[in-house]
Amino acid sequence: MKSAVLALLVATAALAAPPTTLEPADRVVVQRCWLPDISARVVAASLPGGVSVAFDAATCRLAAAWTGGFLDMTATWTERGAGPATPVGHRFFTGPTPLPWRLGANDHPSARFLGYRTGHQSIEFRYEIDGLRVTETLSATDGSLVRRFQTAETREPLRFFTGGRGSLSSGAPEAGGWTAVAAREFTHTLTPAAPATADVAREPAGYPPSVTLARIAETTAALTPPRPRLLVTAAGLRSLRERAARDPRAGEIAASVQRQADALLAAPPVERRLEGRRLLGESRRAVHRLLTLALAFHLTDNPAYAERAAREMLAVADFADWNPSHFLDTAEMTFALAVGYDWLHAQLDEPTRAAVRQAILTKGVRVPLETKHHQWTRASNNWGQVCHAGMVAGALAVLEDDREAAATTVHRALTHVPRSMAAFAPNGSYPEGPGYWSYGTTYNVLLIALLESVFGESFGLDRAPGFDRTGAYLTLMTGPSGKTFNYADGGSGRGVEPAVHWLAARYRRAEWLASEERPLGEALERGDKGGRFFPLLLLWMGEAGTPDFSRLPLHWHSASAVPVAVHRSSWSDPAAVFAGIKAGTPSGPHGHMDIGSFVLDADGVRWATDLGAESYHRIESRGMNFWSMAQDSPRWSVFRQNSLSHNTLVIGGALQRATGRAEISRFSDAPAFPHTVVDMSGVYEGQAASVHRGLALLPSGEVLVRDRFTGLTPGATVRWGMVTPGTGGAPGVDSLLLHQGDKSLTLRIVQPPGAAWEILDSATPKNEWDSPNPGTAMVAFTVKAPENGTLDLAVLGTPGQRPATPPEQLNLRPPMEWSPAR
Amino acid sequence: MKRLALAFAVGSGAIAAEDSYRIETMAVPPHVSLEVGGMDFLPDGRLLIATRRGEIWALRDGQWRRWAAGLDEGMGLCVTGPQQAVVAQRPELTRITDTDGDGEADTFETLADQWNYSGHVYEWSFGPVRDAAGNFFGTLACWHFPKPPARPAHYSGAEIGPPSGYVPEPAPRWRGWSFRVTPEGAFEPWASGLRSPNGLGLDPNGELFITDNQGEYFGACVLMHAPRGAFLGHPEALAWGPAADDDPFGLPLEELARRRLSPAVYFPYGIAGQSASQPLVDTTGGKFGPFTGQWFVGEQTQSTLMRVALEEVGGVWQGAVFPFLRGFQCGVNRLVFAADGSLWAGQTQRGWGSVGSAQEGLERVVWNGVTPFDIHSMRVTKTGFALHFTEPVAAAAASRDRYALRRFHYAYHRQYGSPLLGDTMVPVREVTVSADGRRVDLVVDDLTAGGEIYALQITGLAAADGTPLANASAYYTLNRLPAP
Repeated sequence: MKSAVLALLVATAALAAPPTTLEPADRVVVQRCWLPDISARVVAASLPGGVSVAFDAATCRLAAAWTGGFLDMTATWTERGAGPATPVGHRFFTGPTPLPWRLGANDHPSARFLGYRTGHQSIEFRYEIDGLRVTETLSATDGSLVRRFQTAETREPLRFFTGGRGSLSSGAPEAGGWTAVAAREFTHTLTPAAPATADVAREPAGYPPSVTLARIAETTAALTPPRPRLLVTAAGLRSLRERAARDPRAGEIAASVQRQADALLAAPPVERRLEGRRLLGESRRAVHRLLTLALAFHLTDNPAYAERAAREMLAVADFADWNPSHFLDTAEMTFALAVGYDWLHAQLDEPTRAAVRQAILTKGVRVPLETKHHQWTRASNNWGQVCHAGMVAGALAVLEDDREAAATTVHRALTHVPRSMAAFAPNGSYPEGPGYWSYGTTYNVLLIALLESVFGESFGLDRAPGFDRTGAYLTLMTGPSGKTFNYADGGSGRGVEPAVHWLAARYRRAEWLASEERPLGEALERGDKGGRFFPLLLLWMGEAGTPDFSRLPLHWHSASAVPVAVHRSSWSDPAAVFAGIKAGTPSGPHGHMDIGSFVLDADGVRWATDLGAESYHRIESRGMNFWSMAQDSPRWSVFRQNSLSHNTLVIGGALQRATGRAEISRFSDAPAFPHTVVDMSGVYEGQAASVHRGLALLPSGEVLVRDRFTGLTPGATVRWGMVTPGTGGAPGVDSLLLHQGDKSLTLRIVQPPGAAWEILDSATPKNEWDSPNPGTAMVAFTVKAPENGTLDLAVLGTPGQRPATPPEQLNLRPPMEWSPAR
Repeated sequence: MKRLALAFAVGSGAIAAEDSYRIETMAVPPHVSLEVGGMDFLPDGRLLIATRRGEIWALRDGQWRRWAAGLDEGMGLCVTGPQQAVVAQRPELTRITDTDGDGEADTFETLADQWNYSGHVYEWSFGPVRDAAGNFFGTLACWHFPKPPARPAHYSGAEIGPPSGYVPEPAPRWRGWSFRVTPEGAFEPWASGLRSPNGLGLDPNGELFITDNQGEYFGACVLMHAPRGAFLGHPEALAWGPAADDDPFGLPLEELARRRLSPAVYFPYGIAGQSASQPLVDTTGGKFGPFTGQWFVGEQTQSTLMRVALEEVGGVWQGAVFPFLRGFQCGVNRLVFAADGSLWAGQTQRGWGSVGSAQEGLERVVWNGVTPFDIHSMRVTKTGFALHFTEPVAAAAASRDRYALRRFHYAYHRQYGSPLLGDTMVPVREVTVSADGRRVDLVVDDLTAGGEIYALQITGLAAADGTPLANASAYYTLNRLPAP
């Protein structure tokens, strides 16, 4: 069928069709359907006895159960059928997103859906968990949902996750909601709570948000929240002084905010000065200034801060526009003025208020509604989070002046930000690396906080899969050196991250702040600004809690579209060894040819470095297309972006294949040999038949990097390289001793025999457009592929004075044999 | 002038063999929503009918019984055993069995689900058809919205946005591909470059043919030969597979054209169809008339049946489209031959529209045993075309002015559809009639291959016994000239 519209030909004669709503019956009713908060591969079933279930065939798990009805299929069964199904009734069970099974020690089991069998009273789902055959038979008895499990015989220990919900017929409960099940047959019974009393609690909103524009409009029409209304209330602002007096850390932060505000008093306001196609620098300066000055006013009641903020706002309001062609600039500027206007509303005179709110509306909020500058609306990277948050801030700041625009802006954000938030699934990682995590997530948090401060809820936006875990991401990505595993576009530096404080406080996970103290302490000590969002710390930091590091994994992988893995020897030892490795594709978002590249920290310093991103403006200003991800894109002529500068492999001098993709094919957190194996064959297509890299963090604190190639062209060169700030070491032999201050790292080529280290220049620009990378060098060795095309490389890194493991005691098996495939 | 010629072709071209074939409409009970997506006969004579609402109805002797339910838009059905069928539904290929033989299926086994399916309305799965070795073939419509900015939302983002809440799956794959699945469930991508390929058929030698719909990269609807590994035109499919490219829409059109295997035939848009559906080879051995071995192709918008006679020239498939029968109550989506040689036509128009009075339904075409006087086939020769007729032609057939021949082609480009390009009259220089009166050779001066469509319009031709020609037009897609 085709998409041509043939309205003229549409016949109108139609008999009354059978109903499009499916009702519970006295026998099982099944319907495959798309339920947007679960998946498009749902098998829904209504069980006699009044319970309906949604089993997700994509992940082999019971995803939801409800009572009071079955399914409304109208949107799927009318017109072209573009809409999803809607469950009818009251949901009493939402299944955990990860698979509720563990077989043996594998924390990342795989599942395969085999099908189902229907009876009159029950439905039996069949699937495999890590190859173990499971049948799950669902029926309803006395109003309860009964899940009967039968598994094949296995010698591996089997655990099932209930999360404390319902009752299990057998098994030994363990911590964290898991139960060890020994029997090959057991049941899990879930009973809906008694019907709600007359005072019906509002049901938690589903995800993605489904609230209609009409409802938002209805709500905003009746809404005139007191000011300040954005992010904080008047009482909240008043309490900050008390907090600052009581809590030394809060006091230091408050003092810093006030110092920064003082420094701004004499500074001239920002000007409309573009750098290339961006005004972003000025917008960000305005964010910093207005947050700082407005908060400083509320900490001191000193009118000078409010007056200075008014001057800043009037100057910005007077700009011809806020550069909507690069909409991030408009969004951040709108956010800046929204907060300034709202927090200082009582201090501004009416002409200033009028000028500012007019600017917020005509240069911010209404621009995407009335002009072509709305392409970002459907963005699914950080743009969506930043731009929607900026517009929502503006719209809610001047709510009374254009309620219609406010409703539309909020509804658009709720509709489209899930595109960006999809990046957090499943484990809270971020495709564009830690730097962009910070940007996108800060504005994402701002958006949710803005909505909650005005509407009392975020309409379910906070229920995006992985959002409740993403607070751990920065800490997981930060090594003991204080630098991040900065894959893709981004530097390795860490700033102060108020968003992590917000997440840690919201989800009560003090350990997520493990890597926050250092940048915050440094900023306070040096008197740095601490980033433009620094003042938000006062609003968002929770009361000091005790971090429970045991809740943070030592070994972790993201299991996401841009797969990364990290290994760490300890969360508490400052000399801990830390390594991260990346898979995925160079053509991923903000991607580099960094597939198989790794970073390495030991003894508090970074040994294997990622040079980070080249300046966008530097490349764009030369008229080069920096953003094409095609193989022949100018992007790949940039040293920091391509594979020649990364800690990975170069075959025959060629670059990695931009469209190729690598997966983390093996991962283990077993203490004896924690490791990650990346199947990199896809990015070396045409250069080798297969390339695997294994990275293991040995119990000795050493790191083993083990590569296996097959199908190389005989005689082809293969280069192993690692960029390091370490110095010293004599090339020409198989062992190299690097130094940083009094710290050291020994690198030994274990395989092949005869290979010798060389030291390559990574500091001097390779091309006219490259930036220099002072203080770095690449340690490398190059070998030739043998006649049979199969090549094995192994490098052992021994930090400091740790005893080096003799080669004969190393696990030098090919990485594909290190553990079973995921 | 072009418009006039077109009107002329439409006006007198779509007449078909109504004296030899009749359409019978099946009564459908009011509680049945029979939006037909797939059909096949069980060995015991029950017709299984898969519907867009996900039911499978069994029909025999006017008795309707629901055989299965709960699927996600079954868009094809292939019987594989006395109580078993395999159905392509959106998320998967499923083997469905009535294990206890009580007339209702109870077991649903997932045979293959390797492709992206995110709930988008255009993400159909079509099929399957089954080859002699028991392998299944299916097709996957190309709509897919990548997760930016891994790739820009290059396709359809401009034309038709993804639905609210659309989230591509973590490993989206194989949209725009056809696939082969072994009886054991091993999945193998087959041929790529499909758009909205709502029809598959195997020829008697097991070669796969696929229909596709007019739109981007398809100037008109087509019937395509789809050998393993072929690229058939729509670049989205190149985002996956052996020749994967991170920005297939960035590939130069010339490069795409170089890779593309041209369609075997075009169905000139609006003239011979607007939404080609299932192709089915006549395997009745003469029970359905004189066209054994030729293709019948459903037409979902104009509610007609088309006939296609292919030939392989220099290793490339091409041939002629003939209007065959019109007057169905609704768009024809699925076809199956019954054991008695009647051709069953399953119908639906919801959301798309079609000619006719019904929204959906079931009809069958029955041959009355009278051979229609028709162009049996049109073949290319070194000097022009040979027309083979089902009956000897009258002597007047030798007159040149009875044959009007035009030539045009469609653009292969990014835009939706294509105008008729290069539309010119091609003079017929010489006409010869064979001794038995069944073959007429047309000699033309200028035969151009490479996807040109030769539209033939015959006027005033009768059989030797005076019977008027049932259908007077044919559309031959000339990919390759015979070797000199």
